[in-house]
Amino acid sequence: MYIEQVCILFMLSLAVHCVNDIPRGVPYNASSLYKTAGDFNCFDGSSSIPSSYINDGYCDCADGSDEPGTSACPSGFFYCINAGHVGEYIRSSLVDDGICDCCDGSDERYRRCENICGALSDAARAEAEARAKIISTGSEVRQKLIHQARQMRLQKEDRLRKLEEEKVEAEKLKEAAEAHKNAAEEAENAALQIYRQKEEEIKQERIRKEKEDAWREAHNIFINLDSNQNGLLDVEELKVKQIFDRNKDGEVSDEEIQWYLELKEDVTEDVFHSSIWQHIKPFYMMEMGLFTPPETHNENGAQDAEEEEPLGEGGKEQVDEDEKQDDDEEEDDSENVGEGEVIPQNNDEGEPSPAEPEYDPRTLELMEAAKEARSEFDSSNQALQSLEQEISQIKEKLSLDYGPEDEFAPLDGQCFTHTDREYIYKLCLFNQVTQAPKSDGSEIRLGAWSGWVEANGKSAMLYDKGQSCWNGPQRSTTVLVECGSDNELLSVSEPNKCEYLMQFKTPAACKPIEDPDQGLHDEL
Amino acid sequence: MAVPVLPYPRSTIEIVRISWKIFVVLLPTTVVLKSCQETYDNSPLPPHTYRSSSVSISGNLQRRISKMSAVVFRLIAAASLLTFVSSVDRSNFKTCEQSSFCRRCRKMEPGKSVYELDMDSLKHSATSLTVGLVNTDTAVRFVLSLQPLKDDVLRLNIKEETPLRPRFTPPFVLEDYVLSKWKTPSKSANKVELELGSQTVTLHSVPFKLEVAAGGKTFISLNERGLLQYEQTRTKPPERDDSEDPGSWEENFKSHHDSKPHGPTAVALDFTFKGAKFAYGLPEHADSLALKTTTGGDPYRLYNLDVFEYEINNPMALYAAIPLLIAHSEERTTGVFWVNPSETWVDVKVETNNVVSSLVNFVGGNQESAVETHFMSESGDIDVFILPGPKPMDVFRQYTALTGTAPLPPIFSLAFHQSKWDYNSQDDVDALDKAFDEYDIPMDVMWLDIEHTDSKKYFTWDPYKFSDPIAMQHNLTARGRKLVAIVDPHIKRDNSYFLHNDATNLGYYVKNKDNADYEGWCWPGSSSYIDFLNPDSREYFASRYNLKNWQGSTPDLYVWNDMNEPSVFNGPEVTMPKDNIHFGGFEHREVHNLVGLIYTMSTHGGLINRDDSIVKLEDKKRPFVLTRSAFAGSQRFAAIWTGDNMAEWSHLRISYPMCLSLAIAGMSFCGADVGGFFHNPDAELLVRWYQAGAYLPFFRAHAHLDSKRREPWLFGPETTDSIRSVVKARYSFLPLWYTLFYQHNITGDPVIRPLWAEYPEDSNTFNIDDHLLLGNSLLVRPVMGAGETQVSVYFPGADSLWYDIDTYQVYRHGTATVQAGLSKIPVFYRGGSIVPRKLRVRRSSPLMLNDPYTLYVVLDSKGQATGYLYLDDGETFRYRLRQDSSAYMKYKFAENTLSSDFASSHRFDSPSWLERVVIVGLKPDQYKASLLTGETQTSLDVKFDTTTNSLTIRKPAVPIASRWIIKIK
Repeated sequence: MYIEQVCILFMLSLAVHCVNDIPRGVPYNASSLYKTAGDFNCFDGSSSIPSSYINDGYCDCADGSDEPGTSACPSGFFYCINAGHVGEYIRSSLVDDGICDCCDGSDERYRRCENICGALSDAARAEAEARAKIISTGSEVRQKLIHQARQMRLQKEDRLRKLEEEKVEAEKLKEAAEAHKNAAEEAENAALQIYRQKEEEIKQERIRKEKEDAWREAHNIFINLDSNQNGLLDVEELKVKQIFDRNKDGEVSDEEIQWYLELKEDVTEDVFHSSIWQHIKPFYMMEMGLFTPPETHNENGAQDAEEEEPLGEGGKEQVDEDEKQDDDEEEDDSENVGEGEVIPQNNDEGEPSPAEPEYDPRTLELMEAAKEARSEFDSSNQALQSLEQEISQIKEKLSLDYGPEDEFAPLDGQCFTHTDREYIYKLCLFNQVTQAPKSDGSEIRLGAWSGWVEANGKSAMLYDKGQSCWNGPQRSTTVLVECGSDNELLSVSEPNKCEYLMQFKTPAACKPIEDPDQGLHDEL
Repeated sequence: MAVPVLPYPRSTIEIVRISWKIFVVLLPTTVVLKSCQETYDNSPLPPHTYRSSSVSISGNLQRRISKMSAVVFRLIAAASLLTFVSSVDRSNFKTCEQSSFCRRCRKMEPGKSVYELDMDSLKHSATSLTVGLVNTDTAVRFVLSLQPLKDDVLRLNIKEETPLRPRFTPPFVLEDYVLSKWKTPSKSANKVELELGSQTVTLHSVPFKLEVAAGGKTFISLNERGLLQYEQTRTKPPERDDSEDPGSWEENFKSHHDSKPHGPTAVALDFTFKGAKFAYGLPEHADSLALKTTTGGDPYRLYNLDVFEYEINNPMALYAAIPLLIAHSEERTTGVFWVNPSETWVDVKVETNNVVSSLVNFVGGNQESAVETHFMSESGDIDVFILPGPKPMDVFRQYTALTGTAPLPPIFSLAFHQSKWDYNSQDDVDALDKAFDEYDIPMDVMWLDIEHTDSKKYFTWDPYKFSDPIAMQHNLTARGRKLVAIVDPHIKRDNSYFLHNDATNLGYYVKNKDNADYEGWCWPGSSSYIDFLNPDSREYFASRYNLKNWQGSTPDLYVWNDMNEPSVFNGPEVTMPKDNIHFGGFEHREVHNLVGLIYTMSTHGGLINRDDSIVKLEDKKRPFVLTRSAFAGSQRFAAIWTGDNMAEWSHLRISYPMCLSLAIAGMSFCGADVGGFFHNPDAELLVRWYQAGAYLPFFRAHAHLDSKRREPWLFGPETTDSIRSVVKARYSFLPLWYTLFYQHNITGDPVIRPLWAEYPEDSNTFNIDDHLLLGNSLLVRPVMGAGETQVSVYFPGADSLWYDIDTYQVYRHGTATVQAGLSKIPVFYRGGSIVPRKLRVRRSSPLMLNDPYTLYVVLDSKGQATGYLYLDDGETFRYRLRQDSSAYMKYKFAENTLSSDFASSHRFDSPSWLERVVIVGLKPDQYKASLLTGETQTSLDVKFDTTTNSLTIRKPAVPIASRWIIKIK
């Protein structure tokens, strides 16, 4: 590119003339600049030299203009005429270095270079024609895609309007249902008030009784442990009880007892009730077979199994699953904390749950009415929510950037795969990119749709925030989008660790050329 | 590349995620926890797994789930850890205190030497002297011998008189050296005096002490402090002797056991350099060039080790070990070369005589500075060369006379090398090859790390990613480029691998202590190691490089020997157990530091002889080998780089002292990974690293698999431009580099030199290690700090002139601040030098072979200058074996006359010619120039630039390898 810029400057400064006798490395249209009777002026005006110094193998002009045909000037350029193909400038450093750079071989004086301009020209012409064909068929498809996209957009907008209307209705319905429900529940509550008081009294009585039982149980244990009957429990009294062997080493140590007694020498029965019993109780319960330590969760079992699997390519996908599982577990946790309140004292297991009180017919009627109102409200609320969800989905799609003319919209959600030696890569447009080993199907996410970016001066899609790499970044994928007659995921590479690069060809990227013969014109 | 990503089998990087499970069970006051830890680390896998294809690695999140699930009665607060270890894990490597022999030697008390000479046993001739040495405690006898060598070098050797088992004498270290003679020694009851040139060598008998004096002043004294120790070979006592160090007869480090069947065999000796103020040498350490006092810390350690993510500024062992120490003062420079390839520790104490200490010393009657050193080796003989200088360049010459100089490298190897661990396919190589042309950045060599092999089996190619290696090499050579591929010394234990089968069947592997083939872990997984001590193994391995044997190789393929310390991921200190057995029954402990050298020697020889189609040696191509491990003498076989550094400014900075230290110890052909191996440099660091790296002899960009791509065009046009200009400058100076390497080959002069090498009397230079001299004509002080745009440059030499190579701005003796924006490298011509350059920089150096030269004649204060140019075909041995294939030109400028003459008897019909002469430092005037060749006189055009006071003489166009004279008026 940097050659081009310089060359353009050259071109602009040259008048267009055609002369046959031209110095080496100079295009026809610039040769007159070298046809001077007297001194030659460097193009940059830096100095004036005898014309015999042109192409004499010594760099006199800072801009290299005196040595277009040698390698003498580091900043100079040599023009390959390349008759039959496209003329081009090459850097002076490529002149006479033993490597044929011009297709006409004119850059090498000291070795024979084959003239391959004819063949290159044919190949270039064929390529340009093929390319033009692809662009023309591709752009036709693109037009269809644009049309399709327009239809889709209209449909979506229609649908959106309809939904918005329905939403207004649904909101009204919901409000009515809510009012109805509120009224029904108010009546129900009033009727139930009396039954609730009774229930509460029964419950309080049960709790009181349970406390009393518990106290008695502790009291009996205390009496039993207090072998010297002095109203105090001490280390020696507890040591004789094998039950206190916490670490199961067959011996009840002072340390173990001290832990139960909270480092006290001895405790009164009051202290025993208030705290010590709490430490001791589980051991009694275990002794009596009433308590077993919590079992490992089922999902832990699943993890164990996974752990034993060989850590191959399959390991990747599992990680994600594990993360998900983690989240699930955390949700479980909160539930478990609730369950945790079901401490033994409150454990109703085995006891019959208190029977439903017998309601009078009117109350029953009110309850039934309230239930119906609630259910009506729930369904009207659900209807509204599903409308809102659909609205937001459509809005999201409508605001997505499908290209300047929406031409990529019909491709949304379509997936394309590319298979190399080890992996199957899947690009689901505007959604995500995945990679799966051929050997098993477990996928790893290489990125989720992020937006359009520019890569190498062309537009490209970025899919990012994929699964994290070990000791590395989150995976991401850049998809270079190029014109092609069909949709095809051409290649996948990983130029940097965990940064993937895809080449995707699609008619959606085939912008029509204004002049279809462009590209064939700059030949001689 | 190299080094385990994570040292096996420990994990250094762990990401522990914890999710809590809280169950409230039974007890209202007790919380039972289930802690679920997910540990992402490498533990379940050998480290080589991380070097399989990059796609699969990077795609692969290794994972281990460990769980704790138990009923506990206390709340366990498991801390969440997120630890990235980014520097060396020191616990993997021994301290002196953890090494039995270092402990034993270091605890010796000064002034209590028990060694005496048995003067009755003295024998001498004109070229040797031997005398008995007795340990008066044990009555064990030793034989001490002295030999006079050329250049007044003295060799001291002490052997056991009747060892139970022969001690190892390292082969391949010393070249054939030349003996000298001395006169009949004068002997008295308690001393012997010898005259060696202008020096007097005195042997004192009780206690033993050796002194060397010149001009009546002793400059080095051995056993001055009485730290000589020589543990004679003996049988293991039946009962354990508690007075012995507990590690004397067996030793443990971490999980490794050293059986030490031959017991303690350490040798140690102290050297006192009287009057010396600075000490240098003992590479390789990531530390300052000037050695520091080690009292209170660990000694400098010489034990070739693969140190993962090494730290700078410490005396820990690294990949290479050269037991050469140089002590220096304004008056004198002296070297000690301790020829011992077993593990060695060196204590250094630098007593500089400053004002305070001189008062103290005055009272004590000693006003001299001194450098005290104490060498301690685990086994072997005491074999020492005293290199008397008296100037630094003399010491370098004396050392390379013993260990050899580097052969003339092929010129491409001095050009720019491009490497990255994950250059992963031949398409990748082709694309890079083209990109360097597209961005107009010269490049000579593409490098392939271990990924090019089929499953880490060296001498094979990955059949998919490198399906046509010959076509790939031809694509490169079509642009004058070369390829380097890695060949490591660990051999995959795979029954389908010919090399493994051959080595197993032929018994070429190193044995373990039970005499079975030793197995360790390295990149391929389970591996064994060729025993290069065995001449048959060496020959076999060398012949693997033959083009017929190495499928897919061409004559343009060169070799990188990495991991040759040797690196063993699961071995003690990431290397081989010391009780492994080598050829001849020697233990690994005895040969360890030599292993890397012999390995590269085998490669070097193999490369010379690989092409059967070339019959005459002169037509064979010179090898190029890069090594990570080295010992004294390695310069004869390979270039070296500073191993797995990091993309940090501090690592850029340390690359200069590291290479300077290696260069003064014979290994000039040194470089550091440009950009840093681990992690990612920003654009500024990358540009500065290219700038500094362009003025080190080995110039290669390289990076880790996990580092981002960092080719010069990936950081924006400004960075690309800066890097392009640096690389082009390097190519323009290739004639100078090549000439310096030729001179090194002849004289041993280091190619790069610390300032004190050329200005030994200027004490300001003694502590400078961020400047270097390229030969004696360029001074380089690159920017090596973040955000810096100016540097302080010290210009040595009382009446020297130094000229900025870009602006010709002149600097005189002293310190000056030099502006250095991002594209500027402060580099200066020394006034008085003539520097040959080629200004037509091309894609690769072979394409520049016949291009014309420009001579920079940079005048000193007397208006004079001299310089040299060496040229040949750049690749074969013709230069050495024929009279008509090279030219060594000497240029001289005096009294306005520049002359070119041959400096050797060789002639060369080179098509290259003299394009221009630039004379820097002239007074403004109307100049004319004329050229005299033979009888012909031609006038030449000139141009005087008044802003830079330089005169450019246009196109003399004489053949470069010819005699001529240019006169200016």
